[in-house]
Amino acid sequence: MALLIDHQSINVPAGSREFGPVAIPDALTQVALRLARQTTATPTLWAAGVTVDLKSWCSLDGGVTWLQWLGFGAVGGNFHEMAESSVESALPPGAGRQIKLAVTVAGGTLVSRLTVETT
Amino acid sequence: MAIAYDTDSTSTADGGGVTSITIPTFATSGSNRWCFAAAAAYLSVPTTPAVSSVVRGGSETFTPKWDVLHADNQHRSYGGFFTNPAEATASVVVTWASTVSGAVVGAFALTGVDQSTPTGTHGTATGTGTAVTVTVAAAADEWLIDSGWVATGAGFTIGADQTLRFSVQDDNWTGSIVGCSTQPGSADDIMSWTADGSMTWVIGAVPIKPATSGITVTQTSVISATASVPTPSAATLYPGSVIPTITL
Repeated sequence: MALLIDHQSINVPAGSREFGPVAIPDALTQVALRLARQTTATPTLWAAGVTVDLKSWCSLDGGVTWLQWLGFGAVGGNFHEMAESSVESALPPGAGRQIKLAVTVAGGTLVSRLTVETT
Repeated sequence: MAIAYDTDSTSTADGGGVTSITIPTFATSGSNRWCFAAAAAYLSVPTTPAVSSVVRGGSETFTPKWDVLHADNQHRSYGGFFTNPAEATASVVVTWASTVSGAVVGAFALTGVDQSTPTGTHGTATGTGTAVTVTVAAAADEWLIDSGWVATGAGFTIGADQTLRFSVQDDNWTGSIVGCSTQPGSADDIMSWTADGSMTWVIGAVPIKPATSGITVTQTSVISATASVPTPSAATLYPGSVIPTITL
């Protein structure tokens, strides 16, 4: 397991912000994108009414070309005390792979922690 | 023209509040292309919402074949298709009518599929236990495809006639497994999974019809003509001669 982005605090006003690109070690085969959610223990994170569209792109040629990759849409607020919203998928094999992300926020400011994990 | 498997792509989402998932980009190529998407979703409070749209490449909107809700109102399974997708690489976005706790999504492409009537009559079933099965009639030259979902699963075994195309297990969201398999229409018309333990399950299956030929010829116009022969005159009939006169 490798944490390419390790619980990085993010504060994104309504609009979009990009993260990365980050290199993916050649031997790894799976990637997960995670955003920390509001819970009773983390009341300041990802407020209700804030919607997020998380998109990612994967490059198989060292960043020359990019393919749309994983993503999810989600709304904020305390959702049954679930600590994160996440999405996960297998990666194609290859050398020099990279991934970059874009977070588009509406309905307020997104306060969260971003993690990109590979296994 | 025989049906053939092309490519696939899968992903999972967890954690609640999720309204859509983007499946990683996959390419489609070949003739008589056809795409299928399977999506299973779970919500821990009263009723899991239906899928509201499945779109590939931003414009190719899938047609729902089933969207089945288990009797527990928490486990829901969708199957839908798009005929003649662009010969390109594109991602698929699955969107639910409202938030879900977790979801598992997969899609695959076939070639050699009838472009005007790609599917036959589908079947679905839900239950609890280890035997996950649905029976759907298919002609010998068709394929049966299924989308099975077992909740909280440690594993499963598919029927002997089936070929597993993909399976995805959500490691975080109760360990649910979603998979798709195919079976020749000449087999027993039964799509089955055997789960490793008793659990909630939902399955759907549909026959896929083969294209009749790799080339389709369509008549687009009719060519017609008329001809007439002029009535000959007396001079033409008796050139250089005295024209007879008949008096009655």
